Amino acid sequence: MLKQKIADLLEKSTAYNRYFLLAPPLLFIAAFFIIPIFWMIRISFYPGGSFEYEPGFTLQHYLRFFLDPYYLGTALYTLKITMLVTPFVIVFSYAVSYLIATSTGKKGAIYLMLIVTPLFTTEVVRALGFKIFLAKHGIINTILLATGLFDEPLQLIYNDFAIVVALIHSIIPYACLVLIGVLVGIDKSYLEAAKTMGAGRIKTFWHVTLPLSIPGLSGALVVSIIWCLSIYSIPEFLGSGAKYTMTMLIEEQILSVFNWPFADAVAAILVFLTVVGLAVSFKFSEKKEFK
Amino acid sequence: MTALQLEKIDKYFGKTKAVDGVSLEVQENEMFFLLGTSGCGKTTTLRMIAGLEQVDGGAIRIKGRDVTRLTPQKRQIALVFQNWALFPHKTIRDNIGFGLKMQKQPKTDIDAQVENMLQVVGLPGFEDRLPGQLSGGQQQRVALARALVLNPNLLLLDEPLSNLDLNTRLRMRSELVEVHRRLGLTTIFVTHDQTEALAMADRIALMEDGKLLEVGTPHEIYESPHTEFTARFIGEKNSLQGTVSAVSDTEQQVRFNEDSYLSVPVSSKHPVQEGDRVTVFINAEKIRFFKADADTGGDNYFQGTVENIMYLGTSNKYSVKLQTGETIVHDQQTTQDAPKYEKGDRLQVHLDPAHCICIKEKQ
Ligand SMILES: Nc1ncnc2c1ncn2[C@@H]1O[C@H](COP(=O)(O)OP(=O)(O)OP(=O)(O)O)[C@@H](O)[C@H]1O
Ligand SMILES: [Mg+2]
Repeated sequence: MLKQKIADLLEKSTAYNRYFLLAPPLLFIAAFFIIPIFWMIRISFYPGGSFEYEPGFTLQHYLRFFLDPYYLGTALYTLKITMLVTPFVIVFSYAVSYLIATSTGKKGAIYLMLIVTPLFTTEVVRALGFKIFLAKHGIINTILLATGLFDEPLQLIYNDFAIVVALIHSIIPYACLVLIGVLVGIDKSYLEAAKTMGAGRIKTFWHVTLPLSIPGLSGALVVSIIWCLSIYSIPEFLGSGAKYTMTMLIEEQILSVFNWPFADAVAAILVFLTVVGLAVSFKFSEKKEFK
Repeated sequence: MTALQLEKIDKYFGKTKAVDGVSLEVQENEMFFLLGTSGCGKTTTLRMIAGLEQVDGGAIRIKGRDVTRLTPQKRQIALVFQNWALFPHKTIRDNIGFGLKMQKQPKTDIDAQVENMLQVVGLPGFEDRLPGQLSGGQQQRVALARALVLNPNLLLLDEPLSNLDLNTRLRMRSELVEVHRRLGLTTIFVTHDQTEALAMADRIALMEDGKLLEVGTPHEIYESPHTEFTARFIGEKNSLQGTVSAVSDTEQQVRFNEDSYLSVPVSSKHPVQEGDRVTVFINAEKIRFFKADADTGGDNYFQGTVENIMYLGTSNKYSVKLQTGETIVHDQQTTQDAPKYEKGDRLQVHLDPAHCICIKEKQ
């Protein structure tokens, strides 16, 4: 109802009115997102180091990042995590979303509840939860030992495995919310038309449902990439501590080393990677938008 | 041979009975219409024929074969949806060829048939477009082509023209009739538009509240309806309520008040007895007007006063208050020699007994 009213209002309004209505959110975004990002990029070009920097222009921080294998390694490590996590996120969340979108009556609502519930906790709490879950004497290891398949507990934590599992778990709800919307929106008559033309369930899925859900898939892709690139708590709590993601490097440079220009340069590179990731996913979905 | 046979089919949605004991037979090559008001169960009936809904009772036979429990894939029918349901991500070629591809026909055969079908529906050269790049009328034709290419036992159409503007709709009506005549395909056409049904149908089945009321040719349905519902639903009929005051072998007299009555021929379809309350129906265009002072005399003439005139282009719609106290409407063609009446004019109204349908009121 309200949505309709706002849409009507926007429809009727002149260009002037429209900007007037949009002004508060635009100002908010400008003040708290756009200006700080430009500020950050500016500082990333300032000469200086730990505890001290002054206005000026230098590429030293960027060169330092790209020329030092250790720093460049954080970027590669971040990308590696992203590429490990994203395919699982896409496949799992698609399967779950499909189940929810096609289940009738109360079942769908219950599944949706189960999916959304983890979102009521914060990232940190979830990361700590995984710490307990995967610990040496945690639930998983206790069960594995009880089955007798293993003689001693597995090292499930403080490694890439823990990061990847926790990330997949964290991102799936968000990806699902995007996908469910798209899957529910697919007109049933397309599926019925396919049926009457002799397509079975698998062929209907392959030729109709899957292609029509590409906008949702690319949305899920975007969600996954953004999360993987920007998450800090999970690799911090569950990682080995030997390998840094870019977010961990930024945190260290700001809070421990106090090298703000360098931290800003790393952050700028991270923003750039995110933008590239988004551009690629949008490009992918662009051709597949249907009227 | 009967192309389709429905035997007392039922459908429940929860507690509501959407389709209630519908039985009918459709002949080979017939253009058969399911007509009824919104929500009367037309779509549900069609979907059961297609196999998209399971029946809760009764049986469905297509060309003598019991298909009641078969999936849509196995029924060899084609369904054109109200919104056409063209796959938005597939080209026109792939849309039309979809069913053939499912049958695993070779690509070259498919392309040839698609091209041929696009000729039939008058859209040659549209193969590579997407549905979103076509107008409504063109999409409608593609949907038809997609159905026809499968050479189905039955072609099922669910209000295929209701999303089109008036002109396109009229053109598509004659094109559909033409295609049907050429290909001779048994067609079941669902609509709530009676002019569409009257104009295109071989036979019409009228539905109300999940039940089948009557089946007949457009002429039968229009001129001599069986039920009161049909009489009220089809055409623009005037209804006058009265009491049967005398019945002879050939005539029955319906009295409206002290000094006005109507003599209508006895009808075997609608038997009445003296004293019955009845409703007399007569189509708006079957009424005739005469000047108030014209020497007409005889039965079935009534005095009236023009209350209102509505100009409709091809005709004038007169509302006339009769001496019986009821108001009737009459469509008078706006031809040159048609007499004109003004608001407030007194005139005589003739109700031709041959066109009067006299139906006993339900208790
Ligand atoms: N999936 C469904 N679930 C519950 N009720 C339904 C369902 N489909 C139809 N109905 C009900 O069954 C009745 C018949 O519906 P149907 O769609 O067959 O009507 P229709 O004659 O096609 O109407 P219209 O001309 O508006 O399309 C209606 O009362 C409708 O509300
Ligand atoms: Mg319908």
